[in-house]
Amino acid sequence: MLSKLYLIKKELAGGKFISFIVFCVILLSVSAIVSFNILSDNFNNYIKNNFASAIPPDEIKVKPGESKSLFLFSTGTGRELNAAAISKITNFDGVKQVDPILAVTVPTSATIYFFTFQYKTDLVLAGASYKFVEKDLKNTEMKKAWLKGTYGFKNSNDTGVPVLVPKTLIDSYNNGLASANGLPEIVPQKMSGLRFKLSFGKSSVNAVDGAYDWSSVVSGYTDRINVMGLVIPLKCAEEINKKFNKTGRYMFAMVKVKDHKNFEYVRSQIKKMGFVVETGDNLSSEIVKLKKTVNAFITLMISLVSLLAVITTALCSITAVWGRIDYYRILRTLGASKFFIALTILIKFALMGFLASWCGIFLIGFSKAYILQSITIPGIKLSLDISAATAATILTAGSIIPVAASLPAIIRMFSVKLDKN
Amino acid sequence: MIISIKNINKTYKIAGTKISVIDNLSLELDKGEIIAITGRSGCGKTTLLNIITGITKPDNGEIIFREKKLKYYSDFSMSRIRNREIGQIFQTFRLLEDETVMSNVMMPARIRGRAGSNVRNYAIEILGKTGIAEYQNTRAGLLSGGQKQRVAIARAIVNRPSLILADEPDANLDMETSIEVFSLLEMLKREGKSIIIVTHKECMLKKADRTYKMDKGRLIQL
Repeated sequence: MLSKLYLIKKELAGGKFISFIVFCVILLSVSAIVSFNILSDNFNNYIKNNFASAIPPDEIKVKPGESKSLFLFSTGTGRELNAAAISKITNFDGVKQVDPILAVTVPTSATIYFFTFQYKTDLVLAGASYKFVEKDLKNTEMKKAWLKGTYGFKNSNDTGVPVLVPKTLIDSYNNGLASANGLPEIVPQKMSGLRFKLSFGKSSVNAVDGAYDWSSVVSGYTDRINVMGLVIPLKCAEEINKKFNKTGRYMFAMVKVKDHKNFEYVRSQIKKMGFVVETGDNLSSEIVKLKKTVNAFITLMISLVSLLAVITTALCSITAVWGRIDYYRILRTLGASKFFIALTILIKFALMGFLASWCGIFLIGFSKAYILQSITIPGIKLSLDISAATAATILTAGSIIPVAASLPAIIRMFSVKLDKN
Repeated sequence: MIISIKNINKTYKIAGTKISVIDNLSLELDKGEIIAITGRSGCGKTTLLNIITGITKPDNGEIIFREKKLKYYSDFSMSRIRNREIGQIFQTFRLLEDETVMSNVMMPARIRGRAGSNVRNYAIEILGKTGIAEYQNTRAGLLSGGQKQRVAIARAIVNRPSLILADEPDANLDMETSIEVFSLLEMLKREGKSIIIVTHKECMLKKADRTYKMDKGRLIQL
């Protein structure tokens, strides 16, 4: 074995000049690729930190028109967001999807039992469609329950209504109620499966005929619906309203538009209808487009540099192998198999690639302080840190690419005739 | 029996014309026997040696080497035989000119994966027998033709092969050195090695156990 390692060592030491060129090519390519990656990360972080908001691009939040009453209390003179309005918005050109959040307009309260502790509170209920909250539902069982509108408890015939708890509510409880009253804080991820009682038709201020209690179970939490209440399946909300002869009234609706061109049109149309439109300082499509373009350009540059590195390494490896063909011919004559010779060449290029990649990463790390001092881009805080995952990817690719590039040389070597004196 | 060659044929296609280089050739070689082959250039002598080492594949026929049929389809198997069972000596020596004499001699052992102190001692012993022990640390490229051929002979026997193929080992040597080289081959014969030698020199042909002339791909015993 050691004798064979000697031959591998000999192969590594052979063709020093060409090996040096291959080493330099890989080193420069890796440095360029790492630089492009760093540039891409910095740019993306800049966009994320400066333009991102909770509302995703191409989404409009539509809320009922605000009341214009002169008094403190009014019976609601603002434009009501109802089924007819939702239908009209859905039919606008450029609208992709409308997700309305239905308010349950009957008095509601919840009772939570925790060992001997009992906590009762009035609350607001909102109905949301499955599509809108799908990602927030904890597991398949909860997703099925949401679609069905009821959750079947295990080991009993009881059923309950699945609910999602808004993150705003949890935060308010944890930061206000819990600390003020010496209660334990709630961990949102652990809430799923928590059972409590919901009372429909009665609250601390009002009770209506036909009031009833129903079990409920927490199916997860959501940060898409910021209400100080609970979210239940849209189907349930509609049924509850119907039971108490209440008409549907939507709290708000999320309107998804096809692209930025339609965004302005849809927004102005909704505004004209008398609704409050909220788009926030969201990441506009133009910026998304710019981000995509810059990232595509960087990917293109990385691909070009990689391609050039592959071609250069392939040509260098062919030259290197060709320069040593007499050596390989002698080895073959003396009994070295084609596989063994190919293996020594592959190991040589893999090691060279690995070392060059490592040097490339080291070079960037070494010159980090100097680059940070000399380059200043207004508004962008440069970070030249290379994560362990990126370094591992570069080292792997840096080893594999030269190996792949040396394959044509090896194939050519395989076809060499040995019977030349 | 070391090797038995049975009815082998080899044709080459040159400019669209098929040229028969080996024509239904058969040959047997016993242990410790020297066979000398002579013939005009291009008559197929080197092709025959290349077929025996597996470098060239015959069109048909078979070669039984130490009671086993040669498997031309397996590069690994043929490389193994070439490394362990056959020692080759060439007219152009085929040495690694930048390497030392010792490194050249040890090369087949390194390919085999056995280059320990025992093999190294054996290499020193055979370098002594071939009369170039004092040059073991000298670069092969600096040696004379005769010295290079001695290195090639030492390299051919370092893995203790049973068959030695010498393709015009005296072609680039003067008469005196040729006789010295043949003496070395006779020494190997006494050690039980079988040898096939391709040569044009009369003195070498006379010393062989059997002598053949190759003509149009066929062997004619002289």
